[in-house]
Amino acid sequence: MEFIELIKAPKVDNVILRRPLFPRIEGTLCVTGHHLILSSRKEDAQEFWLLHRNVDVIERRPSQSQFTGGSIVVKCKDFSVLTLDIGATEDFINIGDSIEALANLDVPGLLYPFFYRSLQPIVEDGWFAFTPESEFSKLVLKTDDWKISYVNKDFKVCDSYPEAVVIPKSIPDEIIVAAAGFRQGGRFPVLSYRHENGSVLLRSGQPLVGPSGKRCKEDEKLINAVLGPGKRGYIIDTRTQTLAQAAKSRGGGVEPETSYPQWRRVHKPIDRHHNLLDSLAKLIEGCNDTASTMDKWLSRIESSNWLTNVRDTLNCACLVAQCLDQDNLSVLAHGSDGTDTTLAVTSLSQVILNPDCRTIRGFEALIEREWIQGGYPFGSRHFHSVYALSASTLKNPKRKYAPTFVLFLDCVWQLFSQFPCSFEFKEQFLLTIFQHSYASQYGTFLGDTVCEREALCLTEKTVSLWSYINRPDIIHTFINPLYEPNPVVIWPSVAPPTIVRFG
Amino acid sequence: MIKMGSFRSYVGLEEYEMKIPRPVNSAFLQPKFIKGELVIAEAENVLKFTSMSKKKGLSGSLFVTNARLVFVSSDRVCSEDSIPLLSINTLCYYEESKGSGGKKTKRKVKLGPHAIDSSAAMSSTFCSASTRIHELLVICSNFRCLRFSFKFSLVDHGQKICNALIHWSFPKQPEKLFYLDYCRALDVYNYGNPLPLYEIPGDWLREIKISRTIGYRITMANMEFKVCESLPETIVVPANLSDVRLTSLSGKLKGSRPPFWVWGDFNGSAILRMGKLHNESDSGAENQFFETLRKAHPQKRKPHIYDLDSTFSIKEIRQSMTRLFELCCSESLSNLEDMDSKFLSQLEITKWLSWVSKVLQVSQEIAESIVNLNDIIILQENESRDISCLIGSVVQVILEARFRSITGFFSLIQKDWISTGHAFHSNYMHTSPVFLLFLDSVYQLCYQNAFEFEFNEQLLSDIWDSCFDPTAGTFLFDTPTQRKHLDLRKDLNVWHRILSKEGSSAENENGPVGYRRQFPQVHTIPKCLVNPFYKLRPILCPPHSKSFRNNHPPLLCCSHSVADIQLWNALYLDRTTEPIDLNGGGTKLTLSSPTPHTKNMHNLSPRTPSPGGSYVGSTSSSPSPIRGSVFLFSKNNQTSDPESDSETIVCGGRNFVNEQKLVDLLLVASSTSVKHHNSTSSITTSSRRGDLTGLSHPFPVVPPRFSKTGSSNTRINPFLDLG
Repeated sequence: MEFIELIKAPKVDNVILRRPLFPRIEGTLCVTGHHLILSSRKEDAQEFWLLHRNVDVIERRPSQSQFTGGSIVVKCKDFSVLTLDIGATEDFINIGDSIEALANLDVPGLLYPFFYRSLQPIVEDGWFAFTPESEFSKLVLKTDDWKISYVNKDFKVCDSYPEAVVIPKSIPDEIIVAAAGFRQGGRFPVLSYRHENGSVLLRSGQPLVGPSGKRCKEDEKLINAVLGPGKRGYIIDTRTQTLAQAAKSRGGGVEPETSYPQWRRVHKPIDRHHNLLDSLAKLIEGCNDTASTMDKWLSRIESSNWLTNVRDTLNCACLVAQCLDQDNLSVLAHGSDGTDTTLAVTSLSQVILNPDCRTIRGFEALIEREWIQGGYPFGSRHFHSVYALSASTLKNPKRKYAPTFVLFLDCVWQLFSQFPCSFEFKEQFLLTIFQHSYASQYGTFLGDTVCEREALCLTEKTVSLWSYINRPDIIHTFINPLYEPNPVVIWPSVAPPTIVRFG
Repeated sequence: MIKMGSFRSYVGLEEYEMKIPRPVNSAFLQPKFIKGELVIAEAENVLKFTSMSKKKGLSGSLFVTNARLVFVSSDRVCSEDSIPLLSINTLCYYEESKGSGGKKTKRKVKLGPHAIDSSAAMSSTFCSASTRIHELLVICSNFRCLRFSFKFSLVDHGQKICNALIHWSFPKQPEKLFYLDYCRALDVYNYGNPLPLYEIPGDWLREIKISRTIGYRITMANMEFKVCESLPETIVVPANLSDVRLTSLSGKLKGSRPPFWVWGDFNGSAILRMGKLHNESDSGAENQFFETLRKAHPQKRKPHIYDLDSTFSIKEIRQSMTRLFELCCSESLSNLEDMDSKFLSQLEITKWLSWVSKVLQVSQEIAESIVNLNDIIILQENESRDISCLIGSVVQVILEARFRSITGFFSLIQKDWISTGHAFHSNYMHTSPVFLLFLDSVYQLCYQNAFEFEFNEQLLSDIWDSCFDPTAGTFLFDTPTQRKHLDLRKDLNVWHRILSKEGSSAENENGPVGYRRQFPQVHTIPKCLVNPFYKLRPILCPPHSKSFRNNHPPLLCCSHSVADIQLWNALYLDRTTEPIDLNGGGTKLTLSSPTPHTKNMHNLSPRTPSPGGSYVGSTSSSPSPIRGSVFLFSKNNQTSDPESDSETIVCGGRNFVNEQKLVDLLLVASSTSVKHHNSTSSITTSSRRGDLTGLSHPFPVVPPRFSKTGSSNTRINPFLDLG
C-alpha cells in the first residue's frame, strides 16, 4: 500500500486553522504521509504540524451559511481540539477522508517512527540505555536469592514478557514453565522490585483456577520460595471480590487460601479499561466546555470519577508500599491480565519507595522496565483516546483502549505536587512522555509486547525517545530546579482535597 | 500478629477511651494574662478534644476572660490554647434527648446571636436555662474549631462558661470592647507610626502626589464629620466640585456618603465611590455631578458607573461564607469521611468560589477599561461601604505594583477599608464576609502571579486573624467617628502586630498570646511573610519594558476562569486540624503546603524546540485551561499522632530553605552573569512581560503557568544557567 492511495487531496489552499489560545493561521494545508501541515506561506511563516497518529477522531461540520465547504474538527489524543475551515466542498470531503484513513492506519511498518531520522547525532542510544540485564542486575545485586533467568528465550513461555526475567534462584526452569501454564497469558510471577529491607514485590497474571478450582503445585512452590519458611505475604488483587470470583467461570480466579496458606489476599479495586476511559472522557469533556460556569464546574469534575480513580490507584500503591516498607512483607500484585492496573500499582509503589525512580533516568528506567518490558500493550491501548469513545463508528472490538498509563502519570503528578522537591523532573517531563506515548516520531511506545517489538526491529529502524530526552541539551530542560534528593520513602496523602487535576 | 490497615489519609485520629482527668490544684493552672484582662468565668477538669476525635483530648481548666477564651492544660506543661472572644462565630452545645426506642440522640443547639431566628429569643435569655451542658462546640471565624467536654467538671460550670461567652463575645456597643481596657492598662509608650492611617490631610495629599492624579483636591468639608460620619475628616473630591454642592449631594445619598476619590492617575482615569440615591427619581443633582466629572476629564469622557448592588448581594455572600464554615469545620472523623466522597460538589454548593471568580471578573473588567480608555470609574453601592471597598481595592492591586508590596498592601487596606468606614464588626458580628472575600481574591492573584507580590499567603491569613485581635484597634471600629472618639492609642494597630510577629507562624497564630510585647522600633519584615520570588521580579520583568500602554505599567494577570480559582486550603482547611508533634515521625513541614510559588516555579516552562524542526506535535492544550489545580494540600502532614506505632509519617519534600536557596542562587548568578554551559541544570523561563506584549489581548486568557503550551508568542528567556 502506498500513502498516495490514501491521500486524496495533498494540498489545499486558503485553509483557516483555529486553535484555542493561539491566533488563527490562514494558509495552505498539506497532507503528507505522516503529517498534517499548515503553512501561512509568508515571511516568518507560521507553520503547524500535526502527526496523523495524534488524531483521535475527526468531526465534519458542513458549512451552514454558505453551501460549499465546511469545518473539520480534529480531536487529538493529547486532548487538544483544532478546527480547519475549508472553502470548497470537494476539498472538505477529501481532506476529511484522508485524515481519517491516515489516522487509523494500522500497518506498523508505515508509521512515522520508521521514517524518522534524528538530525542530531545520538549521544547515547536510548534503546540500550536500560537493557533488562543492567536493570535487573541492580535488583539482584545485593542478594543471593534471585537470578536473571532466560527461561523465556524466544518468548516461548510468555509472549508478553521480555526474554530475561528475575526469578528465585532456587527454582528450576521446569517449574517456571509449569507455573506459567497456570497463569493468565503465561505471566508467571516475576520480581518487580526488591526493597532495601529485603521484602519483594512480584507481579503476575491471574491464576487459572477456573470453575473446578484447579491448583498448581509448581506455582505454589514458586511463590512460596519467595517468602521463605514461616513468613507471610500479601496478594493484592486489583479487582473487586465479585469480579474476581466471576472470573472463575471464564477460567480465571484468585489464589484459594487453602492452597496458599502463607498468603493473605486483599482486594483493592481499581477501575479498568472502559470505565477508566469513560471517566477520563467525562473529565475532558468538562474541561473543554468553556461555557461551564463555576456552578457546574466542580460537580462535573467530581462526577467524572477520574479523581476517585486516581485516589484508588494511589491508595492501592500506598498499601503495597506500606506492606513492603513498614511491615516487611512481600507482595504479589495482579489483576486479571496483569498488564494494566497491576503495572500501574507496581510502578507507582516503586515511585513511592525508591528514590531512584524519582530521578529522570530512574523514571525512564521504571517505564522501560515495568511498562514497556512488562508488556503493557501501548499499541492497542493508545490506538485511540477519549474522543473516539463517542464516535462509535470507530470502535474496534478487537482492541481495548484504556488510559491506564495516563492514570499512572496522573498519580505520579499527584505525588509530585505533594512533594515538589523530591522529584528530579518537572511536570513538563511527564507531559512529554504522555504525548509521545500516544503519537511520536520515536519508536519507544510502538507495539504491544517485547516480542512484537523485536519482530519490528525497532532498535535498528527507529529512534528511541530516551535517546532524545537524555541528550544533555534536552534533559536539562526537564530538571526541577527545586530538586533535592530525598532518600526516604514519601508517604502521600490520599485525602480528596489533596487530589488535583492534571491535564 | 500482622497489623494490616489500609492506607489512610487521616491518621492519628483513632478513638481511645476517654481519660478521666486528674484533679489538679487549679491554682497552678493560670493563663498568662494580658494587661487589663480579667477572668469572668472558669471551669475545672474540662476536656478539650483533639480535633476530629470524639473521645481523645487534653484535660485542664477553661477560662473566659474579657478578651479571650483560654484553655490551660494540666497534661502538658505550659500548654495554653486561647482564642480571642471576637473570633467566636458560632457556639453550639449538644442537647441529648431520648428518641424513639430509648436511643439517645444528640442535637446540636446553636447559641448566641448567630442562632437561627426562632431560637434567638431563647439564646438571649439562656442564662436562666436549667440544662446542664456536657459538650460545647466553638467555631471561630478564623476557621478554627474547638470542642470542650464538661463531663467531669462541676454541674454548673459548663453553663457558666456558656453564659459568659454569650455575654462577652458579642458586645453590642464598641464601648464594651476589651481594647479600651487594654489601652488604659498599658504604659505610655510611643512606637511611632510608619504607616499612613489616612485620617489626616497629609496622607491623602501624599496619595495624590504618588499617583500623579490631576483634577482632584482635598476637602475639609467633612470636618467634625458634618457631612458623613463614616468617612474620614479629609476626603478627596473632584477639583471642580464645590464643598457646598458636595454637601447638598451627600444629603440625597444613602448613608449621606458623598462621592469620594480613592485612586487616580495622570491620564485622568480615577476610581470614585459613592452611595446610592435615597430617591431614585430625584437624580438631578447626581446627573449634575456626573457632568462635572465629564468636564473634568481630559478627553471629556463620561464616567463609567458600576452599580454593584445589582451584581453582588451581601446577604448571599454571607450565606455562602456560612456554608463554607460548615464545610470546612468538620467536627468528627466520620463527618470528614462522609464528606470525602462529595467534597467537590459540597464546595460548589457553598458558591464561595463563584463569588471569588466574580470579584476577579468585575475587577479585571474595570482595570482594563481604566488602562485602555482612561475611564473614570464610579463604584456605586447602597452605602458604598462594602462591595465598593472590595472591588476598588482589588482593582488597585491589579493596577499598581506598589499595592503589592507589604507596606503598600497595608496602606491599601487602611485607605480603602478602614478609613472609609467598612463596618468590620457591628454589622456582621465581627466577621466581615466581604473582607474575607477580598483576602481570598488577593490570594488568587498571588497564586496566579508568583513574582508580583512581596508577601505570601501567610500574611493574608495573618491579616484575617488580626481582625479578631482584641489588643489592636485597627479592625475593631466601624467608622472614623468611633475611632476618633474611642481609639485611645493609634499606635496599637494591627500592622505593627503583624510585622513584629516573631518566629514561626505556628506558634503564634492562635491569638495574641504569643505576640511580642515589646515591639521593635525598626521593623524588619519577618521572613515567613515574604514571598522569596518577589526578589526575582526585576530579573524576570525588566522595569523599562516597551509594553507600557498609555504609559501604564502592565496589569497583573488575572484569570477568573473557573478552573483557575483555588480553594485557599491553608486558611480554610488546615486550621480545623491542629499540628501535633510526631514521635520520630520526621520533620514537620515548615510551611503547611507547597505554596503557589513553588508550583509556579515548576511551571516556568521552557518550550522545547522541536527536534530538528521536523516534528511539531500539537502541543496546544484544550480550550479551557484545564490544569489549575483545585486542591493542593495534604492533611495528614499535620494530623498525626505520637501513639500510632505502625504508621510513621515522614513528611518529605520541600521546605522554605530550599526555596530561599534557589532564589539566592538565581540572584547571585544573574548579578555576575556567569554562565556555565556545561552545566546539567538550568532554569528557563518565559518572561511574563513577553507574554503580555505578544498577545493582542491585554490579559492573557491563560495565566502564565499554562505557558507550557508553547505558543509562538511566548518569548523564551533562558536567563541563566546554574552550575
